[in-house]
Amino acid sequence: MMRLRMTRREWLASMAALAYSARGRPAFAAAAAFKPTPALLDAARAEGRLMLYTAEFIEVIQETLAAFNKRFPFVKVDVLRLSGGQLITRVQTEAAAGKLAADVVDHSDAALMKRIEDLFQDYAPPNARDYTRNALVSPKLWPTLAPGWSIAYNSELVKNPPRTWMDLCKPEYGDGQIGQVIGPSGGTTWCRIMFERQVLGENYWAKQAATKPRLYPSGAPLSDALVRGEVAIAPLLYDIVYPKKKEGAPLGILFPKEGVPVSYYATGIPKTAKNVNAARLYLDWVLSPEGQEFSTVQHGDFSVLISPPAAPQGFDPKTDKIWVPEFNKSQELHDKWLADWNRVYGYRQ
Amino acid sequence: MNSGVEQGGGGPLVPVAGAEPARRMWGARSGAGSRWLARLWLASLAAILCFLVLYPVGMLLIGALTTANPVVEGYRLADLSIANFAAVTANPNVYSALVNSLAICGGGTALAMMIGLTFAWIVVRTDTPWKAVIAGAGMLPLFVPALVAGVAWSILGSPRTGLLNTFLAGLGIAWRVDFYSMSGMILVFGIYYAPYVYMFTAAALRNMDRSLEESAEICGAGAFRTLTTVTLPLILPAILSSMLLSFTVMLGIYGIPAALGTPANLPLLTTYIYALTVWSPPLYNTAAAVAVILMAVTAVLVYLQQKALSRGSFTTIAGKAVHPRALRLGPWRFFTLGFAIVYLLIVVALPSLALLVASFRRFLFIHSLAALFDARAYSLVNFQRLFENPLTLDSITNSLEVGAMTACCGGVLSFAIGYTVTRTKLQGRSLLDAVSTVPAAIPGLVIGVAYLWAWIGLPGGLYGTLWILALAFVARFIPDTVKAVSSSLMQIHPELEEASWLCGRGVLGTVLGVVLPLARPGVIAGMTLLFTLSIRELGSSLFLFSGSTMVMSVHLLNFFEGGNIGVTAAFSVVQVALLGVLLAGANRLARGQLKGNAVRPV
Repeated sequence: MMRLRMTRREWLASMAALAYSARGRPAFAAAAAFKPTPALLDAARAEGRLMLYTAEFIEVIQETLAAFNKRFPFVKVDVLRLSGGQLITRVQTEAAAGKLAADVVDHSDAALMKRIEDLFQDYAPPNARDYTRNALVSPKLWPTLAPGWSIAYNSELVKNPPRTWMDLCKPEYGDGQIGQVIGPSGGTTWCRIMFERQVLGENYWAKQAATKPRLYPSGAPLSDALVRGEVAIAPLLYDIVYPKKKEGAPLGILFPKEGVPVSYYATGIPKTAKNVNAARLYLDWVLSPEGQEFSTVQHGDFSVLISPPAAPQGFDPKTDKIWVPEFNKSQELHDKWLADWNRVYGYRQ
Repeated sequence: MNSGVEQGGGGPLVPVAGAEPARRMWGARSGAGSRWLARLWLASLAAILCFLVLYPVGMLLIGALTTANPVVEGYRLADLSIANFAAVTANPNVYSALVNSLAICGGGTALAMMIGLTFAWIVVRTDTPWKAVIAGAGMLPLFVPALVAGVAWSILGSPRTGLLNTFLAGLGIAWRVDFYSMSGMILVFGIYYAPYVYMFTAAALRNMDRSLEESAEICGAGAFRTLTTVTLPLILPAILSSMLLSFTVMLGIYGIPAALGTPANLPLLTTYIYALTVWSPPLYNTAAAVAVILMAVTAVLVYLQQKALSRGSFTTIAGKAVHPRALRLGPWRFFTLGFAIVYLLIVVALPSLALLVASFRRFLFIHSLAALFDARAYSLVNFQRLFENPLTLDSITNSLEVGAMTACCGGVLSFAIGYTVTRTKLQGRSLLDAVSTVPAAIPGLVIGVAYLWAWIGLPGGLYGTLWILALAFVARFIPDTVKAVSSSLMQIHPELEEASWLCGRGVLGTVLGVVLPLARPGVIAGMTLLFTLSIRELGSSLFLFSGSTMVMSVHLLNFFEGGNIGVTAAFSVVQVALLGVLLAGANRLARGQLKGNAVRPV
């Protein structure tokens, strides 16, 4: 079993690897095609189906499944999609009643998944060694996706967009022009607010809150409000706004120079999975360079492979850098800092 | 024959307080065998309600009294505490949300009552032109999911980008509307739930014996006085029932406050509860405690309603054929037509237009009036994406199937409960009535997890099938259907059943041959309501659907949560069209029945 607790030195080495991967590669080579073993293929073919529980947006996951089925059409995938908190409650309750139907559980909040890791079996993809160590919270859970934060703005309304996270504190963007996702909304937002305080400074929240941003319960309604012009500027996950921009929405998106906070999903195969081989085939593919390249190019997600096969459009590996939270530190600070954020932003929990 | 109305000189016409309600069956005229049969009947209904209502509510209470998931970690009596309640009652945010909820839902209910009742009177009792069309169109808001209604009105009434404000700006008018406010939400709640009041009161008005109003007119009462002293008091059960239903449904609605209240930082209990369930980690136990407080508020309202109803008799259908005659309004019929048209423009045309714009427009950024009419911004792309999704057709099929299952099972159960409560004097029937009202008090967002906690352990293969969804919908909406059916049953005079018995028919024959045909408009209205509510229901579906039983409400939420308002609107348009067709069929069925509403020979 892989040892997960990292020393500070290992963590720094891991961050250095990430920085190298982000800065050092002048271009991305085409990802090698994923080649499963014949034995796994035969076993998955014999099972022929897969039940996926996910917190990913339904249209995004279905595009991923369509790409998977293009390679492996013999696995029929059923999907059950719920938001993060509801998904965890569903998984826990079904498991306790002995009725967990999932072959794969895919969740955006690694901390919540870590709490129920006993429900999952040991699993590692063939390229396990290629993954950034500090994105691995358990030997059973793997970072299939890694959404990163960007600043998005309505290009019809904003002619002088902010360029940095610190710009979001400027009074010229005040009076409700900025929309913010509330801190307690989930793991991805927690990653961003942790970055803000650790990297941008202890008083960043106070300065930003002084612009009186409008608060939204999650990223999706905020992205919709941004397109409609309800707000003009918003920190948003790139994979929420990039597909809209691709379709022609009046959006500008940029990656601030101070860093791009990137969180990661935690995905695993339950001990009770009925279609273990189909589940392994799916996860092996998603976690392979081929699968990671697909989600990066199509959806704008990052990859926490040490050498990612691609970067989201607009992310310049030479000048931009990503920031991944240290898991243990993240757990330690979570409750107190979240309470602080609620107080500073006047959010009533 | 006791008409149920007392007339005294020039004074008001009021329901007779001492009129004997129709509770003469079984217990009153039966031997020992029949008594046992009656007890068995009551016990069966009680057992069904215990399983459907009390067991999940019990799990909800346990959830509120613990800090863990009762299925996952179990519970011991020693672990139960009121810590969640203490935390909730000490939290000023809960009070703020409660006050906002009561004010907004109260205002919305008053408005819904005014609109719905006026509409029912115009459609059923006047000779207003095109009233059939008006009646059909006026029901449309009922079929729009609350989430979509909220979004539609935010598209219209947002202070920054609302279409209404774009129009006002285009006309050079400085005044702006703001639906992100308490008054905005009251208005939307009022017009959105007016069809509930309409459905109940229109059925009562159709069933009412016209001779009662004619008697008042013969005695010199004018049209207004007849309306206020005869008509309205006689349909009071339907008015009160529909108001209570509207209020409790509003208390449990998430979509409208989420779309209109959240941008204004105006929390209601539902948005607060939803936040509790989606925060990381989710706080279901705290949400359960808030839900129990909400249940207490609603319980008080139910008690008040029942107390009000117990003061008089509301029997209006007697052993004589009913031929509702339209009130001749003369030139005033154009005024009522104008009122109806303005109402339909505001309630149906505007939000429908907003939805159509959203569904056909590639993006909803509309910076000027000219941009709204830019044909290049419109396409079928949202509908293409909707139907490219393999889950869309599955969800439609599943929803229709589960809606039909729910309407049939719920209709039968509601009629059985309604009949037992209103037409018999079996001991324990009041308890049956009270228990059947309980789910009305629980917000759907929370009861869903209670159903999951309660029923996941059931033996057999029920979990993961459409039947468990139907079961949850029957349980969740039983108060609504029982109220609809009971309102109709309360209007049927006991003499009709007595005549049937005298002619030798048994209880079952009388119920099927006399009572059911007379109550059929109410039963059909109840079943239609149940079908509609089932198709829209989200809270219970979220925790009980499986990979193969995806339903429309969950699929719609998935699109909404994906931030895709265009596809969300396109799916809403499809749902509204689908439900409109189904409702037209149900309406036709009810109308066909009305023509033969006279008592069949027994």
